[in-house]
Amino acid sequence: MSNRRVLTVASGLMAVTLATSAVLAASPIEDRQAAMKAVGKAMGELAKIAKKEKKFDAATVKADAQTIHDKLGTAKGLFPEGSDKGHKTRALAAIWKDRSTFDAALERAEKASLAMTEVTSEDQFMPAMNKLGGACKNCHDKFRKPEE
Amino acid sequence: MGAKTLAAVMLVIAAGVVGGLYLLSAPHPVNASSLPQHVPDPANGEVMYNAGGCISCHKPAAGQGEGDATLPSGGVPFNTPAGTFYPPNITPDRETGIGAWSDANFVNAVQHGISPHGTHYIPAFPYSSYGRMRVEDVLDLKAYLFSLPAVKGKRRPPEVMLGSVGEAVMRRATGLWKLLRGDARRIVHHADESAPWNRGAYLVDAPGHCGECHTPRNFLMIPIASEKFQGGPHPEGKGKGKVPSLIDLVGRKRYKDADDLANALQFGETFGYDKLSSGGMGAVQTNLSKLPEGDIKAIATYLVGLTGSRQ
Repeated sequence: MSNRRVLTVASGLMAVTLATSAVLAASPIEDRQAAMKAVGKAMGELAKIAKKEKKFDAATVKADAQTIHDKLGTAKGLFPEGSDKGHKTRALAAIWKDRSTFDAALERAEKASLAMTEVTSEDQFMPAMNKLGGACKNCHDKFRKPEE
Repeated sequence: MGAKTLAAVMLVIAAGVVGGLYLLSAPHPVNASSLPQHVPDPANGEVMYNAGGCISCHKPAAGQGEGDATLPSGGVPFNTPAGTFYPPNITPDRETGIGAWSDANFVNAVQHGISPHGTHYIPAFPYSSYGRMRVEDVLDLKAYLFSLPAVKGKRRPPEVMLGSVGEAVMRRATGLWKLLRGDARRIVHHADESAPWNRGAYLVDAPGHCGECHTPRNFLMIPIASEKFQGGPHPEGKGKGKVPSLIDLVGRKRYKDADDLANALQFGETFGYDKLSSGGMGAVQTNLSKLPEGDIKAIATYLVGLTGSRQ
């Protein structure tokens, strides 16, 4: 194979790879939905302790809270302008109309999840859970459409 | 008949129609003498206040100076497709609130949608549902409101088409809407259902006014009785999503059972329930979480029983 041909094939392959990854990462909507799903799952585990279906255990609380904190951290970058369409989404246009309130609401949830990672005893758990639940609700009520 | 005579006849007919509609749309307030003898119980009034979600609409606007956000001094805008309304101050301030109101003034306002000046309230104020309440509960609500600190508020006229003229026409036309809608029916006791179910039915249909958003309306903005609780458009208009149906919540796997729903209503996202915090329902859940536990369970009992056969 000549050098030129190698170059052609290589650039062709690269174009295909780029195109594929562009398609895979094309939807911040799907990415943030996956992040929120992971948050919901971890929150569900914490809720079991709140509902007294499961015993308080500092290590699992820390792990679940860390998941929530990390996923909320990635979610921040997944609401770019224009990502209110193109895929089924419950995100309200208010996110982009009132960006500073949205960012503050997300930050409040991030802080509340960080505080949950620092919970070491059972009596600290419910107050932290109230704050975290309140932060989730605050953002959902303002910026998310009801379920259909 | 000449053209002039015809025009005159038409004018008389038109005047007759307008006059007739004007008479038909007249408010009919109740008299003080028709109210029951009742020693008001402000504690029960507080239950009605939270079930009715009064604070959600009557809360002060953000940054409104002296307003304590927990007191219903009014001012926060309520956006509807018909215009923007500013729910008034319902603290007992005598000038800007309801401090000078009689029991009859209060019952007429809350249950019949008639102001102390004898004009109709726009039905963004859910008096059609409150009209189903027991008058005693309404008097208790008044006693509770009168136990709150009086706050000076600001009155703000609604922003509707044609300004104050539009407002006057809209208010008077509300009289015709009330005629078409029919009188609010009191809640019937179902002897074959449990006490919690009956209590739940009352809380949901009367003070709770759930049907104001969860029941679709026809083109005259009258709730469609045969489609009760089947969900509808968002009251704030397009782009806000839809208000979900309350029918068959368990069958549709929204909640496991009445206890599961009661937990969701009482604790919301703190217990991991995220369905009740969208589209304005978050504020409703906050209000409902303040009810006695028995009342929350009663609401859940009634709601999970809505399977379509009897609504």
